Amino acid sequence: MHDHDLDLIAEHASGLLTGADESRAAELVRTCEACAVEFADHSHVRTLLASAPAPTLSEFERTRLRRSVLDAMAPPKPAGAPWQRRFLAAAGAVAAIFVVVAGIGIVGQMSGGDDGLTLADGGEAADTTASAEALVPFDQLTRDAMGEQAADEDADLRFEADDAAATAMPQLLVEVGEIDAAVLDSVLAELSVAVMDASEPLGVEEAVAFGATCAFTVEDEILGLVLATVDGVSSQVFLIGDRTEPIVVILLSSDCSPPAP
Amino acid sequence: MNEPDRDRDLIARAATGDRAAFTELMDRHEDMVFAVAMRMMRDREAAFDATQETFLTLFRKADRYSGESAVSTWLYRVATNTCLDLLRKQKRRRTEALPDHHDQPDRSAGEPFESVEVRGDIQAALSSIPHDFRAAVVLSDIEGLSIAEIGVILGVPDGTVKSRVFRGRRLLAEKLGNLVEQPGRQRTDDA
Repeated sequence: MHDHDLDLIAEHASGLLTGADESRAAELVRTCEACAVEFADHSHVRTLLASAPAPTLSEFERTRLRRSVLDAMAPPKPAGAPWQRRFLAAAGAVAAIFVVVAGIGIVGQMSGGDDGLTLADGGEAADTTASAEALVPFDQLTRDAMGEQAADEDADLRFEADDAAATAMPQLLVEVGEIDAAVLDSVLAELSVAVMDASEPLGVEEAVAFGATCAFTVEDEILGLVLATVDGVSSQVFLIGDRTEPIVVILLSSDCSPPAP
Repeated sequence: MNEPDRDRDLIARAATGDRAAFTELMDRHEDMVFAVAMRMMRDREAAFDATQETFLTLFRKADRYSGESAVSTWLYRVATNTCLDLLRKQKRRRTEALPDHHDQPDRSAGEPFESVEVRGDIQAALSSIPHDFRAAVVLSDIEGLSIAEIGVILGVPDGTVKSRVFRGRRLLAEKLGNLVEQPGRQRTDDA
């Protein structure tokens, strides 16, 4: 059995020794066959490893890495209902983009009192206390509308505006409400119109490819998009958000422009 | 401002939520982290995941950076520990997936010598040695770090680092020995 200190030889091969230790190890390498093999092994492996090209990220991976890490670094969502925050962002975008269709007023009501907003002129949220009584949940609104139009194979939607809301409302309807996934599915099923249902967030290109006359994204998310006709006006219903916290934005417009940069 | 000082400045800013500073920090170190992860994980996607997790950890713990060691040393530590954690999880998953009658492979047998030789695959050889040895060898012989630095990164004494490096190299030598001709190399039984 070899009784020399092979770790000493390994240290020598690693350049870790100096002085007397280095001399002793060098002497062993010269005079002891096993020590020479040990020295050669360590030197050989070190050389091979040091000369191996370093793996690098591809440009695609680099971009993906940056995006995923920086996305994860995004500040936590502020307190309060996420739909409310998203709605305000959506409202601003909607007001900036869409041509208002005159003469169409839609009542939005929320049964919960503080869970809904009505969009005022210029995209600013109206006083919620003033409009709360005029609000109904979107699914209820849709069901009511569908009840009236059930026999209509075109599934046109008709919304009745009450007097108070009609005078206060801009001609652009935005109805916002929280709908759970099951209700959302049922709403989409009832509409029986072209539905783009996405499990992943969609971009403008996908929406347009689907057949939307226009599309926009809020925080890069369009959960779904429904094309419908309201009072003869081609309309688009954007479902913005995710499955658990969808925000429904109904846009009564047949025209739109690209979002402002 | 020299490189370590620049890193310290960047991480201090990143700790306050400065995304631009963090982006620059990534720019400076992502290749290094990915290279270590690739050597440790072998699988590219797993290496990518480890790299991603390393930077997320860096961001989450940026405010805990004490400044005692270089940022790069700290990053090596986070990257290595992240890889070791992932490897342990992988091993657990593999173990859990095995049927009861499955015979454990003889790890001491290693990978067939010829396959490594034919593929010339240093990565395959690295992947065949125990994780702790692999980490020590990668940091020493590929990243060129000192024994003391590796001790800090792995959280073990210098003697342990040396032991892991040397034992790792011996295992690698058996697998890589004839990738390059070594005139006169004849291991004897008593060696």
